[in-house]
Amino acid sequence: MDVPQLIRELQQGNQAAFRTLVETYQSRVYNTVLAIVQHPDDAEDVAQEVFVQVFESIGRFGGDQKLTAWIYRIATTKALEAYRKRHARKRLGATPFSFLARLFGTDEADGPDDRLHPADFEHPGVKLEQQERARILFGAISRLPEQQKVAFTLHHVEGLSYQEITEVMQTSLSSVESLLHRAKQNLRKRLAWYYKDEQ
Amino acid sequence: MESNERINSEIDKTLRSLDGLERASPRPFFHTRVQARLEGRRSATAAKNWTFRPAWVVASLGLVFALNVSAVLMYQHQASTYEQQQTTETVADEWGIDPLSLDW
Repeated sequence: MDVPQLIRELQQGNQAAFRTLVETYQSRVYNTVLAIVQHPDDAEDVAQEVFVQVFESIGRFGGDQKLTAWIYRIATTKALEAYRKRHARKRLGATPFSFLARLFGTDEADGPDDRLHPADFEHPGVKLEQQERARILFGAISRLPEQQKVAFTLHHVEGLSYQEITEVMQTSLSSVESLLHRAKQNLRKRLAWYYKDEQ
Repeated sequence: MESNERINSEIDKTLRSLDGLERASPRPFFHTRVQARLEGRRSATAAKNWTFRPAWVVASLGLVFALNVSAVLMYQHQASTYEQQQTTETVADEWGIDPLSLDW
């Protein structure tokens, strides 16, 4: 079944077409979401929500959009929402003064805070000999600003090209290049902290 | 100097640690769980729609209105009974009659 036909059948509420869609995209969606939320149960929940939203809003899908890019966009948006929610819960539960710390900006961006971003996530698709390094890298990725995190995840975890990322993020090629460049710089900075601390 | 080189080498290796990563997949029967979630969502929406049907809204508002009217009427009835009783007691006082003795 080609994509335009799949879309037409989905818009008619065809259950078999929906099954085809889920089975075609489930790994891409789950893998993307997992890399962002870094928690298998949350990733499962968010991935299900992504397909529910796809089913419910496929009627409004159209124009020049590409189905794959549209699904990736829903997945990254929902994953970031879930990550934010989980992060906010941890933040609120962290210390009685964490709200004040947040207000006065003493908490984010400038220093590693392992209480809020524990580097304990192990991606199941990483090669065995790389697991320890990947665990450290995912800890650093979780601290990236959202847009950089999405661009880096789509490129390095999902293997999307720069052009495909522009379609998902609805931005220009130069913006994607800039996001990925800044993401790498930030990761280098954080990894440098980590390895200096380790010495 | 040597330490910086070592750190840079560690960073480069760590940044390359996702090379050759295989996609993670959800647990088996993912589609069944999505379908179940959709069904749950649909029945919740149907229940919500049923509650907000115009006939039910009108009937509920009518019931609330009727309860309010009956409450006002009951209050008025109680107030007039109390007023009547007060008047009887005042007249009895003025004429020096014990209201209990009239109660035969």
